[in-house]
Amino acid sequence: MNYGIKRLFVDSSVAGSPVAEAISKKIGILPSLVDGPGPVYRAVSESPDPEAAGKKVLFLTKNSGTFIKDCPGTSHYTCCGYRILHIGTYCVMDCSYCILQAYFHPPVLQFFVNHGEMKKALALAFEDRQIMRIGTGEYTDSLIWESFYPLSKTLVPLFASQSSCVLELKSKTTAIKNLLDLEHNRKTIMAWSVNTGRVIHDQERGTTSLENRILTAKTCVSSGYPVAFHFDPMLIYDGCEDEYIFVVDFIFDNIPADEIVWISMGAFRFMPLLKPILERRFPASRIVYNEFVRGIDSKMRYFKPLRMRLYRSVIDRIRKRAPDVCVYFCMEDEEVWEKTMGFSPAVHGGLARMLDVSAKKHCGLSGRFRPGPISY
Amino acid sequence: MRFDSTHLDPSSIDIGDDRYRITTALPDKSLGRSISLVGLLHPPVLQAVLQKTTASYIVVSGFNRIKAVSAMGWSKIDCFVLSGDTSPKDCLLFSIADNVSSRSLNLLEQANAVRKLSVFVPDKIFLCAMLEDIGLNLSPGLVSKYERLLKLPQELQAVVGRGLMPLAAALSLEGMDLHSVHMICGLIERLRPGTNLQKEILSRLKEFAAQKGIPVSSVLELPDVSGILNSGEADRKAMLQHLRKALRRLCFPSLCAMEDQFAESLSRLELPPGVRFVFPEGFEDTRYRLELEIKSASDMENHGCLMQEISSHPALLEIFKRELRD
Repeated sequence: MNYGIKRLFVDSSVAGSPVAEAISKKIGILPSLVDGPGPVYRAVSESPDPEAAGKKVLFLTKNSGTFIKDCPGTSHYTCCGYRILHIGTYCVMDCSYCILQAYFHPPVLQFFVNHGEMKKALALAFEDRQIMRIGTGEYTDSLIWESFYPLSKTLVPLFASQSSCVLELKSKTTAIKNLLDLEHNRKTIMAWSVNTGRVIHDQERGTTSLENRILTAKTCVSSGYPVAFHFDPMLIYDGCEDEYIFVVDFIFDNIPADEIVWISMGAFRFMPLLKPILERRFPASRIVYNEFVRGIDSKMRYFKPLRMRLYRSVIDRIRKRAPDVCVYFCMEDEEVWEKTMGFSPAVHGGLARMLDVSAKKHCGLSGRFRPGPISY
Repeated sequence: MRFDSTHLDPSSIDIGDDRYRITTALPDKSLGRSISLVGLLHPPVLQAVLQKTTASYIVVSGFNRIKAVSAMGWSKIDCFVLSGDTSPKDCLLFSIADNVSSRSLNLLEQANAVRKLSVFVPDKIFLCAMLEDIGLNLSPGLVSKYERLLKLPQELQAVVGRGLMPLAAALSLEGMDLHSVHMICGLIERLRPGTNLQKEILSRLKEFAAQKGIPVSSVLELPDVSGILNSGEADRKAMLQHLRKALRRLCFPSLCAMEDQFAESLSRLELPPGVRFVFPEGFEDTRYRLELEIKSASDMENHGCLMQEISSHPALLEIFKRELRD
């Protein structure tokens, strides 16, 4: 399976590298050697639908910047202090709401093959002995690359060999085959982005069903992995509350609560730039037409009382099913926390600390906590 | 291009052949009055057509002038006649250049000029370069938009041609059902909103319709909207403002309810003149703004007393509670 990749570009600086060679062989397309991303970007930009074209063009290159970077949390909202392991960009699946369509100019499937440098960056992070949550699923889906190259076979054992950092692999796929027999030492959290069946069917092209995601998580739990779930983006529509509650129940009907490191929630928000892209690419989608107001970070967000109402129903259900599971918001403000969770993360030393504590508890971390709350 | 100056009987001109016609407007009375007063300053341009049986000439430019003098009963008209072997492309270029040199073409006229000329010059870059040489500056991107404009319903094209609707607004109605387009055209003709207001009204109409899965015409027929449009309000601007508010309420019912709550609480505070209490946009932020007008130290003192007085007022506490009542 090559996920419909039609063109393969290899940066001349990494030509001949074992990873690039292995991927080229696996995909079975004759690669075009290029000096830098220019020709790749042109090939994508010239398409009438660059966001779709970018999903069929794979560019193997090196990460010339930092491999571990702070999650680009926006100002004024509470950020969780996540770190991104920057393994690649964009995604082969096609979710209408995906911000990556507007975030990269143009969006291109890029996989960084200079894994030697990635390992050095990780070694430095591990040496620091500070508790750190690191994920690969921010600029891409963590597991889509597994069919091209089994990166998990490198990352999972690396994290297993230390005890201060935890890796979160976040996905909408079932591509866990490479992971099940790995020595993970519970330092890898397998996470799924979840949504209602209706949202998955209508808005998440090419992703696997809710049932498959949860059953795949269940398989990972059987292999000893801790798991996490992200209700993000939550969409507001008639009947959404009942459908999200169904998702909560489905999770807890299949996954033991004490195996869940955290559950996050985030209502749909978007940069205004995404709206025309979504309207053009997904004319049947109605998700951008609702009571959206401009947030303090200039992103469009559901009018606060509406999103708080949805949060309250879901939180109530989670609390009913699993009172102790760690639940948090991705990018919400104090008011939302106070009025829906009943507390501010500040009482736990900040959101980052709250999650670090949960990671420590579930994954057996022994590093030191980072000092002070994260503030932006 | 070779042409001769001559006097012709208007009946020898085939005014119905509009292959080179660019102008969308029909002649108005002022053209006739002007010609009566000062004569025909700028003779029409024709082309001799040998194979025609009932007429010997077709119009290259000057349709309205010919109609005007015909209506005035002139028996002869001064004309320039291009030779019969002038190519259609050259005739068209002449027509466009003649029109461009005397006035600004409206969007529909530009679109028609592009459509007609692109038959001979399909490459958009060459087409734009050629048009630039005769005084019409267009980009290939705009040419593509004009192609889309000419696929819109005629009624909508006409509204654009009359300068009542910007091109972008018209293109945003692509794919809309004819009844909705008809109703929007009627609304625009009648209320003549400016560009920004038009953009807002159209986007609210479309988004609400999309959200509810109904055509725009059904939104315009909702009592809250049709009541305004059929109210008999004579003041166009007042009606536009009512329409704008009604559409906002449809699209943002909860936000508007919160704003109403805020206004109601604020009125209970009975703030004196010179004091403004402003809520954060969209109630997203939790910080409110208080604006005080101060001209003297005693103003400050008075404001201080007022602050103390209202700080425990139930209405203020309600404002800060920020709960949307069901």
